[in-house]
Formats: sequence, C-alpha cells, structure tokens
Amino acid sequence: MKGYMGKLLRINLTTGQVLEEPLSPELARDYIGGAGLGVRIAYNEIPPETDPLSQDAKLIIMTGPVTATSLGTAGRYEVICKAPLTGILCDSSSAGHWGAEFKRAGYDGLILEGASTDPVYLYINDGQVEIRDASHLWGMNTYEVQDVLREEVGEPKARVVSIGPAGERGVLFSCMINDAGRAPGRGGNGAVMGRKNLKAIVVRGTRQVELANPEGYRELALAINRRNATDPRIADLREFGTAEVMDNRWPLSDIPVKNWSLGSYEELCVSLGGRKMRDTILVPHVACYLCTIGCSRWVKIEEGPYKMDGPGPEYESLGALGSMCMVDDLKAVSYAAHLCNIYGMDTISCGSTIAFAMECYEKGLITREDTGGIELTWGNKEALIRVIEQIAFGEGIGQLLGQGTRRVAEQLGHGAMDFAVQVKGLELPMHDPRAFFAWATTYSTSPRGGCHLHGMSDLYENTANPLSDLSEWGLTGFYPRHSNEGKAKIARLAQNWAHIIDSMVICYFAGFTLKPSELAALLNLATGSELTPQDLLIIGDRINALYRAYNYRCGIRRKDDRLPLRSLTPLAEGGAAGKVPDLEYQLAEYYEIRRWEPDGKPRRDSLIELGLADVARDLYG
Amino acid sequence: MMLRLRIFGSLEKYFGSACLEIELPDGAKLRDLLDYVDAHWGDKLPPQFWDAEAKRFRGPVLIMTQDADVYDDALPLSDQQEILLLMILGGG
Repeated sequence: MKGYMGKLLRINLTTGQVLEEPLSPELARDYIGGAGLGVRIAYNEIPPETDPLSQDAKLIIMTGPVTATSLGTAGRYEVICKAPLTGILCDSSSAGHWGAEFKRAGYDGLILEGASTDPVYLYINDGQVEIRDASHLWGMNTYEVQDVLREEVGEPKARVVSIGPAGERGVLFSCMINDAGRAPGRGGNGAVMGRKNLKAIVVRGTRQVELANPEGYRELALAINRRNATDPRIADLREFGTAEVMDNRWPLSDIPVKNWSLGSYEELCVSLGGRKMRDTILVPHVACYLCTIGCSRWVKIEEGPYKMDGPGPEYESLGALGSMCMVDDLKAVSYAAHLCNIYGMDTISCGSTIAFAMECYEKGLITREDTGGIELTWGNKEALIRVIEQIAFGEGIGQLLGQGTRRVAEQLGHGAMDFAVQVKGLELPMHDPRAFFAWATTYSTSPRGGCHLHGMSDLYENTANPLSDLSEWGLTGFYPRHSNEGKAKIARLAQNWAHIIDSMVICYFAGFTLKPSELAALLNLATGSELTPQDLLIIGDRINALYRAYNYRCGIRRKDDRLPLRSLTPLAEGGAAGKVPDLEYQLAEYYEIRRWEPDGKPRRDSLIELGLADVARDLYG
Repeated sequence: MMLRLRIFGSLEKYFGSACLEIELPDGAKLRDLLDYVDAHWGDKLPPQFWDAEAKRFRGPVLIMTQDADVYDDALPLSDQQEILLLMILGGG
C-alpha cells in the first residue's frame, strides 16, 4: 500500500497483548486515513453506550498517507475517542513531529484497548513494541516525562506523547501533550489515557514511507512548501504566529472578551497580541515537521512569578486564558498556557471554564467560601494561575471546574447555563458567531461540539478570493459576514475540507494556499489512487455522515444543534454590535444540504449513496 | 476632507506605516479612496491583496469604518473619518 505502512498496531493494556493487523485497502480508499479512518474504526469498535472512562473505551491514534513525507507539517497525528467531556465522538489533531516518528516506526495507527492495573508506558521502536513500567513517571508533568524517557530509552531523537497530572486525575478536558507543548487538545483524551494507566508513548522510527510516484510527489510537496514560505497572505502567521488574530481581529468583535460579554476592547487585545509578544518575550523558535510557515512561538520570561522558557501561547490560549478572563498581562497568560501544557490540559476549555467561573463569582453563584478564599475576579491573574493548578491537581474549586463549563453550570443552576458558552459540552473556541455568521452553523453542527476546526468557515466570509479556495467544490461568490444566506453551504464545504485535511493528516495553515485539486494530486502521487476533487468532496460527506450517525446513536438530536444563549445575545459595542445570526434559518438550509431528517439523523438514501449501507441499517433497521 | 487610515497586520509594510493621514476632496466616496490607494501604493501591494485591474482589495483584506464593513464604492466618506484596512486570517 503506497503512502501507508500497511499496518495497524492493536494493544490491549489489560492483557498486555500486542497485535499487528493489516490496514484494509478498502477502508484507506474510502476514508483516506487520520480522522476519517479513525472515525470509521471508532464506529465499528466503540459501542455508542460506552463509558468514555471505562475499560471498554478505546483510544485510537492515526496518521495519514502523507505523514512522514517531504510535505511541510506532515508530522501530525489524530486522536479519536469517545470524549469524556462531551459524551460523543471526538477527533483531535496535534502538530509537531510525533506522528511522523510513529509512522516511521512502522505503523499507520494505534488502537489502545483495556486498562493496565499499574502505570505503564509504551516504547515503539522500529516495529518493536514494549509495555514498560511507568510507576516512576506517575505524577510528573509532560515536559519532565519527555526528558526522563528520552534518557531512559537512550534515544535523544525519540518522540514522546504523554499525559500530565490532569490526565492522571481524570480532568475532563485533560489532553495528551507531545513534543513538549503540542496537543490534540480537545475533548478529554488525556483522561481516557489516564484511566488506562498509560502515562506515555515513546516512538522512534527510521523507516521510509514508500510512495507511488516519489519524484512527482516530491516536486509537488516542495512547490507547496516554497509557496507557504513566501505567500504574503500568510505572512502574519510567520511573523506573529496565531497571536496575530489578537492584533487583527478586535475591530470585528471576533475576539471574546469577559466571557463573551464585550464586543470591543482594543487595549486588552493588543496587549496580548503577536506584536507585543515579538517585542517582549519572543525568542528564536523552531517549526513543526518541515513546516515553512513556522507559526509556533517560543517565549522566555527571565524572572518573576511567571518565569518560563518554552512554547509560547497560541491565539486560542491567549483568548481563553487572557481576554476571556480580562487578564491583560502577556507574561501571566503565557505562563498560564505553559501550566496547561505541562499539566496536560486543553487551554480553550480550561480558560473558558475559568472565565465562566469568574462570571459565576461576580453573580454570587460561586462564593469566596467555595474558592477557599481565592478572589475569582475579572483580571485577577494570580487567581487564574492558582485555579489552573487546582484544576490540574483536583484541589479546592478545581475539583468542580475540572468538569468543564456544561457540568459546572448544571450543578450550579440559577441560570448559570445562560452564560455557559459551549455546544454539546465543548467550550466554544475564540471566534464569535456574532462577528462571522457562518460560525453559527459550523459551531452548532460541528461533529465534536463547539469547534472552529471543523471547519474554518470564516475564511469564506467577506472575500471572493479566500484562502483554502473551494471554488472547485462550487463555493464561489461573495458572502458578507453579517448575512445568513449561503452560510450553510459554506459550513458544509468548510467541514468537508477539514475532514480531508485531518484525514491526510496535515495542518490547516499549510492548506491555506491549497485547493481540492492539489490535495487530490498529493494523495494520488502518494498512494497511486486516481481521486478527483469531487471524490474528495464525497469522502468529506461520508466522514461527516458517519461521525453524525455515531453521535446520533449517542443521543444527539436537532435540539442539540444549538448555540449558547450568549452567542445569540447582541453585543452593545464593536464591529458586530447589534448583530446576531439567524440560526434557525441557517440550520434549515444546512439540514437540507446535509440531507438530514428533521430530528438530525442522516437520511437513509444519503447514507446508502455515500457507501454507508451498514450505517443505514444501524439507524433504520 | 482628511481621513485617518489604520492599517493592520502585514499590510503595514506595503503602506510604510500603521497609521496614515490622507487628504481627499470634499464629497469623496470609497471609490476615490481606492483610487488614491492605487495611485500611491498599487505598485507595492502584491496581487494576492490588490486587484490592479479593478483597483480594489482582494483576499483576506477587509475595509471597515469604526462600526461597519465597507463594500460599496459609492459609500460617501466624511471628514475625520477613520478607515480600517484589516487582514483576516484564520488562526487558533
């Protein structure tokens, strides 16, 4: 199988059994790899009633057919599981190098089953698999684990993914961390790994990926790498990292401030922006696997309470831990994100839950007694840091907040759900649907809950010449951000694009300068397939329908495709003042385009047309 | 009339400044501003940002006033108005 290693690794942590299984060529053809293939495996193997934190839960790690090739950003991997935070299926993608190293060790994917009675880690080295004792690692943070394990296995080039204290304790938004600071952040995969008593997976691989047309592939990949190094449209990502959003988007009211209650706050946003970072704490940095964009940051804070030397905060972290909590100190927010990295927690959910808690504190729903004396007031950076630590270690108010916004709101009652900004239990990312109306459909229907990566619909609003050009899929024309027309179409195509990107598995940012025909060309040169752009569109539809079918079987219905009340409450100021999306209008269009029944179930005929007859039988008998 | 042009992101390097005061005739419309941009910076702006034939921005560039997005060439501008040229990239 060109482009693939042709093998999946299945490890049962209860029995210690290690199996190699052939990768099905049919499944690879129909789902590409990565997220798509992982969702298919999850659908087949994880019954919808499975408790995500039980021994029956499975954790699936997948690479794609371009992983570990000469294409920039092809070092990524995908994690798929039934998410403890949401109770539905969740795929999450991580950058860095771990995915490429894992694939070079000889495998396309890893399926983890069962749970060990004692802490263990996996060492996968060029086809050799060992389950090793990890009792000495339990309690360590993710950076410490990487250092210790590289030394222990005697491979300084080994790549490590691990959980921190948060995953060990079952924090519902805990996540795996690889390459010291990269994360498949969302949904709580760290808690799934923790319940399996699996502390880390160390990989070392030197094998090469065989491609169908190595010369043709290399030529195209290098052309794309060169384009991403020079295209002026993504220059801001190179120069300022994702923090550029703080500098560039505040006039649009796209950046959430004070738990999504304020529409404009220039000083706060600029104080957390990419320019401020560049001019104060940024030091020369390294990029992800062969990436020529290099958006990742490295920051050094020499002294004081926020002393650190490590990966700098991404925009989402700056928003969730910064503007959402009204903390305007870039050093404090960088340190807060650093703590989330070393303890292994999703910065979006963590920061959003703390911002929500600050509003609860302001409204008297959480008291000083509840917090053990912590003044959980807006802008209190010391409180922010203290609460992050309490969440990670399950102490004090952290025991409550570690369950995420939805569960906290349910427990507090008294109208708390009105300002709990989440969809299907997943806290919204840092882009406001009142600023870009297509987010309304994207967030409410995203297969894993409130999410901006399935897909980036805002790219297609306000411009007739978008990044990630989808005109080959029929997306042409001009869509003002504050109109509802056409937004369902945008959402479907952006979601499908994301499914393909996540199945290949590459970075969305590398995909900014690409279009479907180039993704098809990459796949064809890698695997020998003969895919067209339209084939990719159908594969995207197939993955989305399968994902939806799984979640439907978990109980997700039309009523769950919603937006939080706050996202439908007009802002008083800023570039989206007085604007709210018409979600019902958009969803009616979206359901028609997706061919879903009124209750949210994919229609039988659409499932059969997408090659999902077995799924149609599951849903319709 | 005097306009204040605020320029965001990497657009700044093509304009040479993040903030410019420019003078247009009284009664000027957005089209006049775009013609001014073309005359002064059109040859510096890369084709990914500037459609030299249509003399308008393209791609991720958005024009805003303080409280509204601006698309219509016939939009009247006013003295002392602030115009924002934004770079809209995905990010997260």
